[in-house]
Amino acid sequence: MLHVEQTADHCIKCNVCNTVCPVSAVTDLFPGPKYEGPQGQRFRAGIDTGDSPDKSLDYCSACGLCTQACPEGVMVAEINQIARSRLVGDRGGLRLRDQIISRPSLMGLMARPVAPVANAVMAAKPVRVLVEKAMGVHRGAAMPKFSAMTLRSWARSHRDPAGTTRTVAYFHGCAAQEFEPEVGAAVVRVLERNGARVTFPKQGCCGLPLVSNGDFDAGRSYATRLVRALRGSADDPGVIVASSTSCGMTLKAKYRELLGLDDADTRAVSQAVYDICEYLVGLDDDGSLNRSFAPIRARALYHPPCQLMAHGVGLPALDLLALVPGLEVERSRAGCCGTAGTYGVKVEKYQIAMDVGQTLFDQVAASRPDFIVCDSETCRWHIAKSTGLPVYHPVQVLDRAYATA
Amino acid sequence: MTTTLETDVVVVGGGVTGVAVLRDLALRGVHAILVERFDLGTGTSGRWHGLLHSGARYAVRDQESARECIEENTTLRRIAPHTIEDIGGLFVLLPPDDEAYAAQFVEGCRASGIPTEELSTAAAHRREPLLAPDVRLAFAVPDGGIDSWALLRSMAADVEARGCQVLVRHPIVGVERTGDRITAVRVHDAVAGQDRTIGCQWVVNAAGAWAGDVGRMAGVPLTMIAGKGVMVVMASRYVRGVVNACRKPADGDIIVPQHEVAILGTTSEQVSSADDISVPPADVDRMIDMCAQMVPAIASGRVLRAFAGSRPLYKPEAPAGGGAGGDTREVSRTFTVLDHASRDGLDNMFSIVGGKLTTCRQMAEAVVDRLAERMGVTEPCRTATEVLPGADHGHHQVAAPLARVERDQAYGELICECELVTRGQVREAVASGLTELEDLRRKVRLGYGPCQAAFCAWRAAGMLAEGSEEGDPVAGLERFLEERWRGQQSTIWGDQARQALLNHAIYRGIFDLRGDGVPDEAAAVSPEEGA
Amino acid sequence: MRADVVVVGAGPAGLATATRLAEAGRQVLLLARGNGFTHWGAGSVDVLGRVGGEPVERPLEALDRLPEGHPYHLIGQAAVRDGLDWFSRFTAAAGLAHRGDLERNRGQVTAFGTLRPTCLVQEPAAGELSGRVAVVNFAGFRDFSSALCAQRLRRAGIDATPASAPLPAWDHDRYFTGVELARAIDDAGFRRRLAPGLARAAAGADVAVVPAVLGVGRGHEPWADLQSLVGTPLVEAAIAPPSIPGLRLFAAYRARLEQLGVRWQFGFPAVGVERDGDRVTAVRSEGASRVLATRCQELVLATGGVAGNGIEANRDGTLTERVAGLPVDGFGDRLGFLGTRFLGDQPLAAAGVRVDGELRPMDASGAPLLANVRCVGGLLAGHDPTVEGSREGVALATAARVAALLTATPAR
Repeated sequence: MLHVEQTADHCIKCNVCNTVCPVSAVTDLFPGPKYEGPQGQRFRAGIDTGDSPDKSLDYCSACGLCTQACPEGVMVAEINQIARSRLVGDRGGLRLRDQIISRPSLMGLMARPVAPVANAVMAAKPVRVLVEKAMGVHRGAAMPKFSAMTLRSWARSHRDPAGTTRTVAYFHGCAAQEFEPEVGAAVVRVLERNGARVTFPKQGCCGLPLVSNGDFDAGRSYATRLVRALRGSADDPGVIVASSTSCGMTLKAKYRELLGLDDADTRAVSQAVYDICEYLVGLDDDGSLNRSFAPIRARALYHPPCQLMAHGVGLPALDLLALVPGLEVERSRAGCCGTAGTYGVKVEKYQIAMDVGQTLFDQVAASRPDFIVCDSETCRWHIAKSTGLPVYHPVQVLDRAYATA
Repeated sequence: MTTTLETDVVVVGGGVTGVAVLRDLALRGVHAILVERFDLGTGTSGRWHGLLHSGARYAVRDQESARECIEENTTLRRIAPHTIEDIGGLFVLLPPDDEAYAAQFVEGCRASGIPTEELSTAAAHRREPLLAPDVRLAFAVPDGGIDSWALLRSMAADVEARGCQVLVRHPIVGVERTGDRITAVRVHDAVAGQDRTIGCQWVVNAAGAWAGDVGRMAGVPLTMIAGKGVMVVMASRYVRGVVNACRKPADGDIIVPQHEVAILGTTSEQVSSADDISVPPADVDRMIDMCAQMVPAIASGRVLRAFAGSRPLYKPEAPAGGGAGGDTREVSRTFTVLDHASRDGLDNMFSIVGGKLTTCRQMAEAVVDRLAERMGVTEPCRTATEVLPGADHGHHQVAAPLARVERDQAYGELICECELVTRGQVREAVASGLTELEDLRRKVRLGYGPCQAAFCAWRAAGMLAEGSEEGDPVAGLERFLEERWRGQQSTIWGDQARQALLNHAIYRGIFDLRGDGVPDEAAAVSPEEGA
Repeated sequence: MRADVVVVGAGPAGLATATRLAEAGRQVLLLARGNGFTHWGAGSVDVLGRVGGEPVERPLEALDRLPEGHPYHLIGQAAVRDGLDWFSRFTAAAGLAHRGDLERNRGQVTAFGTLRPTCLVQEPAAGELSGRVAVVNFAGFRDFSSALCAQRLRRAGIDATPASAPLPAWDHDRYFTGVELARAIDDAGFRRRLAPGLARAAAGADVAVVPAVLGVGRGHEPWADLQSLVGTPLVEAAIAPPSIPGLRLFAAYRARLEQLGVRWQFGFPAVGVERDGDRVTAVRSEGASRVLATRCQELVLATGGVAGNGIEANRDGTLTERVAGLPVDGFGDRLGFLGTRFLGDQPLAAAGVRVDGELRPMDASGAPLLANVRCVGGLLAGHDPTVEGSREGVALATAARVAALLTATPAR
């Protein structure tokens, strides 16, 4: 029993977690975080005798809203994730679909040489129907487009500006590398506007999709590889920014909490990781943020990803967006957009994800913003598909405001 | 006004020994009636740590007990697997312990016929991930966990199906004796509020720690030593199997997982009465500190409750009147059949004293063999081979309640969420005649969990109200809450303090219950029991 | 991170304090481990329900009977009035009108058929139980028993009869709690399908008592609509946590705080402070991989006592205030924590931080320990909010006092 599992001791059964769970709100296949987490934990603890009894556990999306709402410090979502990893262990590993969707870097590697074709194929409805039947990925689920050029190849031909006063390492993650190099480029430019030279340490996938799906062993091997790759940067320059809130979160806390990796190297890396918006707000606290933004006269809706809340740094994107003149920002009232990483693409979970996201979609329909802003990539794809509006990372907005200044 | 019953044998005492005696008699075709002052298992059988002994704990100093244990361990697994968790046990040597004891331990187990296996510390830690990192040696033994309530329920169901009677809430108030024979036993029917007389040919005194009181009523001198032990219940399980310290038995040297909790045990203090179930806070602290040496996470863990029970110790040369204070671990844990004919000139009474829960069946066999011989009953004992009702379920799996709820998707039916007790289970218990929340607690484990009945008690009270216009379920609820509260002050801090205050805010704050229905010195329906 | 004022704790006191400070022009950051007593209470405003165990009829008058050192005495009657007036206006504006006033307590019906003394109740709980009362549960709802409730009401002389209303088919047939049911009742279509069954169950009654689940996301509109569809007055009975009326209030606070630009952070407890002399300069809170320091001018602790997790009750009988290490009188040993009767008084519930008339924590001699720290709500010593029925009253009154004190100081 890890420290996380012992937090179940704090549960006083008050039901607060059940009031914020977006999944139990939309389906009675999921009896809620209290049942799955600290309550179910007592029956699972110490058991290694064959099939895990859990079926309803599979519906937990690990959005983490329960952990945040709990007044006693029970790490409900994390308890569920650990239980899921045992469930997967009992079943002999992940099913094929989950193995594939948990390895975005592998998918990217394979698809990139034929990106335009791959994208066209995946956009074709008959293909999607086939993929749904064969693999269990819902035909309506948002799929990112493979980029022909990776972020790192863009970075290779990008020249560092002169006169930088600081250095920052960039953990870009699979999303920026394979699917959204434009987000990565925006991160680099925004940092450079703030006098930073950006390094691109060798890196791979953080393993979060594997961990979320319950394959902790595979997750651990990705984790140790990534920690090794980033270890040097944790000392020098000592700051590693991440533009994917969920991948940043994984480095900050999930290796320790879920995978039990608490060695000095992992700790050093996790303590050096900053979410990009968190980092920029930190510069602003010291008075060194470049605030020369040109106006963007538009109305935006900002949706904080559930994973961002788990960083415990507040909503730095909102503070930054407030500095852009002319930009009206409304905050999403939804706790979770529904996709929760790879959860929402699965055929058996898709409708739940769409129902969970309905609060957000309704708010978007009522407010009719010009665009939506969200720090997490899977959320961006899901929201874009469901609302038809463009969805940007906060740094893309800042990049635009800097560029036109 | 009295009513009269007739039987061949009256068995006094509704613990596991008494019920096992009744069962043995029933299987030999003898008619018998058991009388118990409160409910089954409210004595030592309900106030202990739940260990199905391999006997290893006695291997060094009391090999007779050790041998009895390992034999019965095997027998109980055969006849009552459903009451047993097949979890094994470990004996671990920690840095301050004496390695020489480990050698004696191994030798003692061998001599007693207890299979042991030395494990590497790596293997021990794989088996028990929370084991202290500085364990030096580890031995695996066939310990198990046994649920005494389940065993009692199973045996009682068996005997009632065979035509014997179990009279609970019928304390013995006296015997009628003619010369050197008892002709009848007088009991008080506490529910009906009247006395009854049970005419009988023989009496078996299986009153355990209270055997001396029964002896006195029958006019024979019999002194029991009450060896009190305190046990602490942790809110979660911590260990997969039993963990013992490999040292001379002492305080805080055992952790027994039982269902979803872990029971830390125990102390050993001679007290003047077996009804002394008080728990000194210092004992609670001691249990935690000592057991945390074996499993460090316990030091920061949540304590659910603590309870105490008296070992029914018998020493033939014990001083009259019994004493108090002093360690009782020197007294042998084997059992003794007392034939009061030869001992005291009372022709038709036997007492079965001493022993332990693991050997209850064997104890019953021993006394019933002697009794049968005197009665001229030639049927041999069959209790070691006849399985108990429910045995076909196999060993109890801790995850079974969760598996059931998952299989039936019965989340919406949960009344007690901590223990996963469903509406159906409560309805069945109510239909079988239970009207008190305390009885529901014992029967279906309602309110056993960490929230200590914060939510389930009033749900169950509601179901009792639906069942009947009579009674006052709210007053019953208040009584139940006060009963659960007694003696808990020594174990409430940290998480449990927050739970207690939330519960208080719910019952007193939201529902404005003030306990008006519960007078200050209200006697409980039955004394509070352990986990 | 920087803030002007940091409020720690998001229960009734923290929420009211953060809102009032923001309305007074301060820039507020609200930090909380999680949700608080709004989610666990009866959904009403208790000012003073009982003194010495006896029910209070006139709360303002009864304040005089409270012992020296009680928070109400420290801050004065004016703050109590101000706190409640503000709350009444705030909730009315948010579509959550309350009924009642400080002059006289009222009885709020509960799921147990008791009438708990309280001062203000939300409109859906305010109806009078006169004439024939139908006590109606929704079929399958586990957290209410109409038989239990009706039985107790009858003992109090109310003509109450139990009944059950079927639920229309919906997507939570298999499993639901009060929260799911309340969300369903937010939907007008669901209400239209629910109303006939409810009306039949309440047929012949002058008023129907139902569990407090009549909507959670639309203020009192669902209750009002359902009542008119059914044609019989509906009165909500307080049930065990989670408190649906409390969730309504929490939603109203959230919306107001957002409107006021208050930033907040849930799920990460405050774990310490940084000091410079007698001033707190920053609050330290746990982040995912680092402790964060938020610099602040003022700090308000609304962390609740032991129940709110603001004070830890240690194994050895001592008590520890968890954010700033403020002194809290402990007990000789833990046997002193709790009373011998569960339904009696609990000394631990009255434990807290001693403060001066300006709600600053003070040392043994009565001098303030920290110039820019205030304590509000359940964290304060000298009162047991459960036993005396004063939780929300103390929360609102102390919030009023802090708002007055901190408005007066110009924001730097």
